[in-house]
Amino acid sequence: MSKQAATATTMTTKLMSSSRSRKRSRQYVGLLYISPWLIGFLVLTLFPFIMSFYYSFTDYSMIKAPAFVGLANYIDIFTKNPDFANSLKVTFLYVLMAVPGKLLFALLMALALNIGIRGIGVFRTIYYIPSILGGSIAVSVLWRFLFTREGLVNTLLGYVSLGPVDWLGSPKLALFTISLLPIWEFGSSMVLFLAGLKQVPKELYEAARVDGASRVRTFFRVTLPLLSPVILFNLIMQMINAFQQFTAAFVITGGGPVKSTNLYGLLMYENAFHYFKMGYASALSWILFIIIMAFTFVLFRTSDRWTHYEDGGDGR
Amino acid sequence: MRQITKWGKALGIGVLAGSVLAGCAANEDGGNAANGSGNGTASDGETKNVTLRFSWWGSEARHKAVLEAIDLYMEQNPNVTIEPEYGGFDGYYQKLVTQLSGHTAPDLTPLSADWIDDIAVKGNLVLDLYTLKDQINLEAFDQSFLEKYVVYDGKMIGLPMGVNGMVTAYNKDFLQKYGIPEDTQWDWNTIHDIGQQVHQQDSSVYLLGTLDFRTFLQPYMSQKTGNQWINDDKTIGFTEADLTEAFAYYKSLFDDGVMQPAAESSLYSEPAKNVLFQKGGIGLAFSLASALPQMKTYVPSLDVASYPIAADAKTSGVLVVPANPLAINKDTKYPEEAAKFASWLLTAPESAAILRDNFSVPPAAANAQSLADQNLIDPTVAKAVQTALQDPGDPINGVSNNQEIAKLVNDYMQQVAFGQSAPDKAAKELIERMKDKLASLQ
Repeated sequence: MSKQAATATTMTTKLMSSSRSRKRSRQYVGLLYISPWLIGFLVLTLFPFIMSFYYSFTDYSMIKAPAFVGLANYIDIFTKNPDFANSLKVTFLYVLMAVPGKLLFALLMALALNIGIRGIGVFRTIYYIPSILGGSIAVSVLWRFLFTREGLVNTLLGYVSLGPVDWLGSPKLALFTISLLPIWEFGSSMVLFLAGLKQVPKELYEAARVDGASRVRTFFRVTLPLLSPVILFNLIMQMINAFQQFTAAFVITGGGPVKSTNLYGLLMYENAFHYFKMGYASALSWILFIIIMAFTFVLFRTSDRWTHYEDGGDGR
Repeated sequence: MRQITKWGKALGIGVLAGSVLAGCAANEDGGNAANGSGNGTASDGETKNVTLRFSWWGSEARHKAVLEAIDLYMEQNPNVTIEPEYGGFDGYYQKLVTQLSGHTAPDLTPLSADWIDDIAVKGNLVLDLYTLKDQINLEAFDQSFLEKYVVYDGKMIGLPMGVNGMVTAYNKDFLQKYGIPEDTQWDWNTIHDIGQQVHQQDSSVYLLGTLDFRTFLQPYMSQKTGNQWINDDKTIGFTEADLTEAFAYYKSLFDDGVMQPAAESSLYSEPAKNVLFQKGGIGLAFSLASALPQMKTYVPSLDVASYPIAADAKTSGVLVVPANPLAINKDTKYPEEAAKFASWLLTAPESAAILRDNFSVPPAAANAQSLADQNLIDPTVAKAVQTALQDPGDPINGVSNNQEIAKLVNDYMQQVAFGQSAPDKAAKELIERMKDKLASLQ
């Protein structure tokens, strides 16, 4: 009996061991499958992320080894660098113009394209194209050509005896002109809104119609509340993108005139790659990281008050 | 079977991941090879095969000429392979510093004048060419020019690829149209007075487009004080009153219609890119000789005169610079071969005949003369260099070339140009910020 028990125990142990071994080998295979991404993440994201935190406490020019300077970079940024306050102001203004503008435009376009007519897919594709091109140098160059004093926009204004307007040359208008670019690139937000609109149950619209609600009332009482989770997602993603905006200002105005478009991304770039103050630029980037994190946190915390989930939010 | 398929897939992924890593490794190898590679050893004998990497920036015409010169050199020196790396100026400095930092920089590269302090003087990342004088035909160059412009602390940081100087470039048709004599001796008063008259005659045109730190404020202050912008001891070379006066003059150029309004011109960093200049609506531009060919593509009637010099100037302030000193990376495995190639490229008559004025006027006087005799260099460029060399200002010291300070000055010039800051306020603030910056450079 005891021999049988011992044999059974041995077999069980072998089976368990074999099962563990198979499980482990499956884990290895899984890891191997995702290894390209994993390596990319570790080497190109996590490592620079950690190193930039270390560099933010150093004086590092790339030519010489980094020298530890403690909080000197942060102190200089907050107490001696007026460009920091200016870039923060410009970036906040940009976010305030570009993000609501883009979301509003994307929502309007999504509503317009959410109709069941023949060939609507073609229109949706056409309206999505600017997003595919979005963020590229070529589009920024095109924007510059459109809005220079001699550009197409002023030429068109000239036909109705208006202008010319210094869209990019005036410190009062340049930031506004640049913030129009992401609004034009509304495609990705529009697609998400379209998907959200498709999810709104038809019976709710029917119930609203039966109750005699007008179209506007239906939009504000039915469509908008049910779209609110998509709005939250779009808002957070677009806000993060807007805080990090670089290409448009770099290519179109170079931060001018009079630093009126010197977005935070440009300030970091200038310190990192013009003056090779890598430690200083790292400190700037960590400040931006904290700002974005704080705004994202606030949006999440306050979202309960204005987002509506059909399942009451449990499915989040 | 299932097991084999699973491991087959795993192997496939492994190979894929391995190839990604191998790709990275190959790049690293390529990078290391950058510092001179081949079968030769560090003490490169004449028959050893040597590979040198040579990078530069510029226009298509320049690329074509340099590639042709490289081919000729490799034909004459079969054991040497020159790997060309070329492109535009945008991002060149950023790339170069990153490469220097990673020890993957090319063996030979030109240096822009404002990088010399960081890379060659403070960074000490290029070879002292005096240590390679046996491989370089130094006699072909004007010795005083070399000592004045490419020798820092007794160390020769590069060989000038050309001679460049600042002049007043003018549109002949514009001058003729508004009755301005071509032989006008330009100084800051004539600039103001004539510019004002021109704009009164035709409100759509201006005598000047944009001005910046290098083309106006630095030489203007140099003429006024006789000092460097920043003295060698890192003190500021002028007083607040001097700077206030300079800003007030600069502001008067806008107020009196001498200069195109900043809102119209601020997008254009160079005169040749300014649409009004291209259309003939701007009369003058202060420019380096090397930029003239591009300007001439829009204004064929372009000619040059001396840079404006005030009657009471303590120094001419006329900027004369070696066009992009060609430096040798300290990490090169083949310093002697690199030096031989650099010397040939910049002094051999057959190379000069190919390069012509692609790096401005050739630095070797004999070659410059020969090309001029054969009409192989742009006569306007040749005239510009000759004009600038008639009364050159003092070479600009390293600290005055500091890019952060130059950017700061340009920012304050823009504030004055847009009327956002009064001259006295701008002068006070700029000096305070420069002092802060200089303190951090100590």
